[in-house]
Amino acid sequence: MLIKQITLSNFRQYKEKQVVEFSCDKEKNVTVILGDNTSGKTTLIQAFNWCLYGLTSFKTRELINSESLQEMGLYSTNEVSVEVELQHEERLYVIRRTQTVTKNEANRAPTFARPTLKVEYQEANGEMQEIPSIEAQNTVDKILPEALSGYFFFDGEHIADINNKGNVVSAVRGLMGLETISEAVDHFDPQKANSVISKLHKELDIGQDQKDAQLKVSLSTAKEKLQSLEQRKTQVENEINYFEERKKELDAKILANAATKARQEEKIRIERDLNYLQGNQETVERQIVRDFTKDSYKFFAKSLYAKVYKVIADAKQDGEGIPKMHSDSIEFILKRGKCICGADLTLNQGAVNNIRYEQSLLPPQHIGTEIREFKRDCQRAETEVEDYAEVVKSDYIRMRENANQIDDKRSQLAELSRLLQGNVDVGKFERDNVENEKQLKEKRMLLVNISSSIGENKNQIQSLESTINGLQVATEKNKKINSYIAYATKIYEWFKQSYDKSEKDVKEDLYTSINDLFSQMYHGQRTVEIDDNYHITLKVDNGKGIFVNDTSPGLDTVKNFAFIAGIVDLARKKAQTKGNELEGIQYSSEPYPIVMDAPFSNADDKHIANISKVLPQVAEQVILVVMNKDWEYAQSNMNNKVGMLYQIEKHSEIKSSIRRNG
Amino acid sequence: MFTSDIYVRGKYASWLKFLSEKTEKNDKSEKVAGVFKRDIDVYLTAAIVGLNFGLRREADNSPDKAKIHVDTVLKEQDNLTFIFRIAMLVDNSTGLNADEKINRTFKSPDTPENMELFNSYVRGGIEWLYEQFTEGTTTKDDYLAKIYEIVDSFNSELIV
Repeated sequence: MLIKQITLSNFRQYKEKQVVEFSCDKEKNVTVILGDNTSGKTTLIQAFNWCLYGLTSFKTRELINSESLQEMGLYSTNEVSVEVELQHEERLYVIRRTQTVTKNEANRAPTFARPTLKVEYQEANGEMQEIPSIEAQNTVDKILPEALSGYFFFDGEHIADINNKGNVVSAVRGLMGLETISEAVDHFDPQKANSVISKLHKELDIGQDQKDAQLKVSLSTAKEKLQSLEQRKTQVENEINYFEERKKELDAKILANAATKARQEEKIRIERDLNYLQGNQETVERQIVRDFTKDSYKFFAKSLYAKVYKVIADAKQDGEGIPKMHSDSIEFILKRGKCICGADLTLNQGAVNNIRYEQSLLPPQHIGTEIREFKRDCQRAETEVEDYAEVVKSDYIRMRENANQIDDKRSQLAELSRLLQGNVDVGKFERDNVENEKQLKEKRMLLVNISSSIGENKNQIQSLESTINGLQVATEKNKKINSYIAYATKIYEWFKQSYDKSEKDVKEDLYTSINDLFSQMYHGQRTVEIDDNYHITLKVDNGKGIFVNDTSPGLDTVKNFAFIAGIVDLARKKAQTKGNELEGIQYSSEPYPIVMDAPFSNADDKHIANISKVLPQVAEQVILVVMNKDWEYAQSNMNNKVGMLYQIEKHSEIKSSIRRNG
Repeated sequence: MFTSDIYVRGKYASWLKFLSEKTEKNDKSEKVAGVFKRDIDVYLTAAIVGLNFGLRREADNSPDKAKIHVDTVLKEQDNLTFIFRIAMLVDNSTGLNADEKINRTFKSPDTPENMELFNSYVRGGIEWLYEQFTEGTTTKDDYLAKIYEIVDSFNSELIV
């Protein structure tokens, strides 16, 4: 950046329009503006600050020239403005800040409008192009960040503080072009909550991956099961085919052997009949023995009864006794002397004689009764066996018939056996058929169950796949985010390495540069140390060790000049090497001017001379607003570098002007 | 009379066993005709058969022996007495008249002579039955057929 000129209109004591051109010559790069105290030196520096950043450090608020303000009539408008024309990155910018002042009421202070900023730049064809007002300040900040401006626009009275400012680090980084990459590092830093990497981590759908993995395991299991079920299904279908074929075979065999079957059934029936008949045979056999045995003696006695009857008939003892009466019964009656009719027997001997006769007909003395009873027994026995022979005969016939039937059945059985000899066992086919049917039924049931299981399994797979697909979106997203994180981490590491290296280089370069410049400016034995915060201290090596010792305001001035000159020098060198680096990240860097107000305030003449010699060498452009007395010490060393020389002329306390000398 | 065990001895005992089904029941290995239910049934029928055909046999003293237990004897006492009386009335071996036969039968039946007489008919009957059931008979069928044959034949003779 080179400042081409500044134009002040109505700004503070510069009532008239003041145009100050600055030397942009590469050799004679120094512009000197001379002035005495209170002539308006500091105002000039403030004009830069107000134009570029809208800032001033004046105690009074009004920027407009006091005279102009006082001269304003009622209902009049005036303006205060500063316009800076500068060259930045080979482009011409015109930056103008204006404040309108209006006086609308008598006896009252005029109204100060909010200052407006206008930024124009020159296009390649030479025409000026205005930057939209909303972007105007931003553009200025890009050219020279406000934070850095203090290192380039400063008054010498405050130079002592320049290295003590808190933002030295950021200022150095900014100047060295490290700010951008530092921001980039921060932008990616995983430790920072709002970094790219942290935000990406927040976007990860944590937990879904695990669920996805579990579901995939389930899916895999379900698919394996399906495969196994389908194999089983095929197997069962084959088995069903086998049993169906077997059924056809068996049916055909059974049909073909229908006649045999009938014979086999007949045989079974006959065998059953035979069994029955044989059982029956035993019964009738037992029956005949039983019937023969029972009453057999009565039967065989049949021819004897007649003989018995004849013997009884031939015997004389055939008197009839009182049936069932015993001789003892009569004896009892006779002894008691009283008849069963009540008659007294003791008085009737005739009756007693009759009774004695009856007694003689009774057992045991008389056997007639016994014989008669025996005879009746014989007659009864004879009657009882009237059917005896018939019963035995009928038993025998039944037995014979049964035996004949048995013989018949046996013959039939033999014949059937002969016919069936060599024939297949149809019954076995039928039993096989029944077993086959049972198997077929079981297999068909099994097939239904397997098919049902397959259906369930397919549904499960479909459901799992659908769920997994649902998760897939999240998983895909996670995958992407993870790859983004990986990229971002790489970028972060790349930036970080590059930044660390660059910062180290910067620090080393700065250290070298500042020490070099300090040695040129300072005429003693001290050296400069830089800490991590770019704070510098002066140290003395007395041969027995290095130590820090007290400094003076003058020495601080030199130190700080060395610091500023070092920074500017480094920025300039960087800008010169820009685009030549083959590796790493290229940093934006631009040479900057140094605009100083009363720089030599606390410096002695020797130091002034040294500083004057060094500054034009390190800075691209030097603008010095300096008191006439100080210029005397600097002039000899700087004169050949001066391209422009101005003199501030103070006309009154509220009016000055700038005149070019030579 | 008929109040104790009845013993049949010698070959008649063997033949009696052959005719009794009980023998077969007691010993399955015994080859018998078994056409009477019990030993006593053989004894009863044999007495009548012996009388019928006038067959009397002396006792045989070979060792075989068949015993009809007193319980069975007492149970069949009436039938035994009935048959015994028939035997005493019908037997003509001792040339008794009708009155003497009546007296022997009803007044003093229980004598050793009478019992021996009775048992000689029993033995005769056993022999006859044995012969019937061993003549041309080897199977069960044969034995049963023989029952029918004997009964039928006896019955036919009675009718004629």
